[in-house]
Amino acid sequence: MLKWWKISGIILVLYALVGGLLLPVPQLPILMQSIRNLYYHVPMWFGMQTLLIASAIYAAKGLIYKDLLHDIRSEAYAKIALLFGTMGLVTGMIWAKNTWGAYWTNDPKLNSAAIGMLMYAAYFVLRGSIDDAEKKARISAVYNLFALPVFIVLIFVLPRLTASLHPGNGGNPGFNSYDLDSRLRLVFYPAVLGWIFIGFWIAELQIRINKLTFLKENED
Amino acid sequence: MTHFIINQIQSSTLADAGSTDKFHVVIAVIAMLFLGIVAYLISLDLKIRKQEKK
Repeated sequence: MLKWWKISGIILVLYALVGGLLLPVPQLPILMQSIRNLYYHVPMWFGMQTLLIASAIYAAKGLIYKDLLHDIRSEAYAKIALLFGTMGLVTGMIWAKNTWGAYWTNDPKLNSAAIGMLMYAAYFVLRGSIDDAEKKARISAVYNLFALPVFIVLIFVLPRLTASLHPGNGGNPGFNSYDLDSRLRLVFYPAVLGWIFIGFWIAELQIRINKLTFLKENED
Repeated sequence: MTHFIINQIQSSTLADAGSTDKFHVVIAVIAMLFLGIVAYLISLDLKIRKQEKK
């Protein structure tokens, strides 16, 4: 039997996918119907950030308790976070092409997101370069704990200090001022919650597979 | 003239109905794709559970 949050994830994402295309949206200049991408693009970043926080928590736990199972969890959360980040970038690029006229602009948020993603890609390169499991867990946990605050600064702080095309950045109005009649919220919040649940579900499956592999390797 | 206008209205209504049908097909395909991913996740969940019980 599936746990409640997995069932909730399925229902919420299905509702967001269908409702996101069918329910009315405010007609805003330039954005027009592309505002519906808010339901698909932004939840990916929320999912990524939540998973990265979970990854950092387990990295810290791994350092404190010196348990390799925490490292397995930390790695899996980071891996699925990177998957969500990639989906966020792809949906963002499609949106950018239709509203800003190019797949990639010199926007500080875009560049920061790319740097942040590369930083986490380097985390996996680092892990792959160390053979000893305990050493790998320790070093990558320290890297992970340093990477998270840098990622938060790159995504949330830096783009707000300079001119940006993104809403809520560089003096632009944020999501709240767009959403005057709350029609977007009806789909946006369920989409965020649903994708977070789905992200944790995929990560949980990855963790369980890695645990089984780890236990089998240690049996031999 | 009246005949022309009626024809125009009819053709635009038909075109709208056609595009609405296509739109619903797109939504149905997206929903089916997601449900396919969910089915895969559930089957993976069950397979892992079996392995864990062993």
